Amino acid sequence: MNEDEIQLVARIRPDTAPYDPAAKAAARRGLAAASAGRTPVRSLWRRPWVALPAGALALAVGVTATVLTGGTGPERGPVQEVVVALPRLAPMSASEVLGRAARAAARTDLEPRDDQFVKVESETMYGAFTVAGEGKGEESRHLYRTRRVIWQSADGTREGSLRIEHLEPKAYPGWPIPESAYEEAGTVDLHRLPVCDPVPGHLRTDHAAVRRLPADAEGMRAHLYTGDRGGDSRDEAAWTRVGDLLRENYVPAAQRAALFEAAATIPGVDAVGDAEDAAGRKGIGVGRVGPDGVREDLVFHPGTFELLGERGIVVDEKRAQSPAGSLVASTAQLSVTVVDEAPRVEEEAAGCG
Amino acid sequence: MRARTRPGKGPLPHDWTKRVMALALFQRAGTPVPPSGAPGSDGLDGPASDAALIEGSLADPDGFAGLFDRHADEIHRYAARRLDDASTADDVTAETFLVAFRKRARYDLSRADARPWLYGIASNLISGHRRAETRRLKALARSFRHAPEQAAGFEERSAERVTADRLRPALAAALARLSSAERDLLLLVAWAELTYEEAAEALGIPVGTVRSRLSRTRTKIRRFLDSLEPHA
Repeated sequence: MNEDEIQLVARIRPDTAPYDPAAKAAARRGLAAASAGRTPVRSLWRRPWVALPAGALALAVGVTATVLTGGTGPERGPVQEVVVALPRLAPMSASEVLGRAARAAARTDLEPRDDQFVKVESETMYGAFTVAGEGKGEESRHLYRTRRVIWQSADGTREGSLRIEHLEPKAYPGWPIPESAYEEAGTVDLHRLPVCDPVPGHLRTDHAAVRRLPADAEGMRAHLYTGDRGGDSRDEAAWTRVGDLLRENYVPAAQRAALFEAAATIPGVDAVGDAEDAAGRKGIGVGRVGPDGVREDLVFHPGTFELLGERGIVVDEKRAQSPAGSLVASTAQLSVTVVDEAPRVEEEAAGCG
Repeated sequence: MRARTRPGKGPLPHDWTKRVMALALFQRAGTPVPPSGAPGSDGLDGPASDAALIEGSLADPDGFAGLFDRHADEIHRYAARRLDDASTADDVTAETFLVAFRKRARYDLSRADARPWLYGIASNLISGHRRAETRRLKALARSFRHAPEQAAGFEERSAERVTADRLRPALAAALARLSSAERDLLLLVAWAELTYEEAAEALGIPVGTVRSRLSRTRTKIRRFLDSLEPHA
């Protein structure tokens, strides 16, 4: 017979079932969540801000060891730039640090019941970037700081909540602080975290999903590398995911150990000896340099190897557009506890991504 | 570039994400949309092209969902044809649009139709599921067993169709023997019905390469089928 092989192959094309509406809706939500992540600040325009009376801020942050001079008052002197020394290599290798962290994981396990909540308190500092456009404003950068408390349902079936208290901003090294950076300081946001149909499994970082992750290093590694994240480096994406899973969460001991062991296998990850978290706690940094010239570290306690927080430090001035050694991100996980209830939040616009 | 999301936490990513206070946000609040090529041109000159939609999504990321609404079913259909289980096809489809979203800044805006681009991303993801792909080809080969009885009841079936049915196991085996680059191209043409130009765009190869690769693939299939003849 002379029939074209392409036509033959076309004729055996299998029939398919229609796209399951639930799967389709989940995929669309995942996409919406991703696009929301691009411009998270949209919420600034959407939400009414809850202002705190002056003084309340200082009171609330007094709990942490962090330096917080000044309150929310009008005095806005030049803010000191946060520049620390360039990373030095740690006497311990990354896999050694992560290995110890993995073994240490077994010492702390909370085991929340399904009907309980995981509560995490943290302090954070990240870069806020304003993009200039059409003469409507100037490009600017500053470091915005918050104190956050999140309550996540252990099994994912209950509404959680999130409290964000905005602290005084800091200068992004090499950039003047824009006036607008002070607008948020002293305000508190309360958000509902509604129960949403899950986005695709490998994208989830909520507690209910994290506790079902593989408890072995190999399975966890596969999870870290699942899916093309669209970046230029899959290793970079995998390291990002390590942080995403640990951040503001409680990862059960078995999964945590697996996660640290898997993280040690990511190319480019090494250790530095002189890291510090946002609460001023010194530790060992384990991380890698990202495409933006910023080294992203997890900070571990040098004795107990518990995770303290994260930090971002400039190593490539050009790509980061900031002096080498500048601290451009810093967090501290201050407490992780299990509680019976999450505070109720009245908020109309709580949507699912 | 490095946006990270906190699924389930709505608009509150808390991470290394740079908070981009794009002025585009003000546009959302009612500034007129640029005259042409932007997503707002819907309704004036018919639906905006995919390229216009993608371009608009650079300033307004939410707009990218429009691309999903247009093409998700088609991409899913293709993934489901190539992969054995529905949930893998679901994952591939979801992932295709997430990857596309993240790469949208690099989209060649001179290409009005984004389907080839999406098919290319989906093809990459499908090759990451070798087991589901192999299972599909095996299932395809087995389906022959039921074909003769079915064929008897449908006399209107064309002779060609019956030929293809008869050859189904051999064709499935031939497909399994191709390299994944050959299979990707062949199935984009045979199953997704892309033109050679579209397939070239999808796979990022010149049209000349499409022709030569297809011709080589056809020869391979022919030889394989021929090699089976004596035993048939």
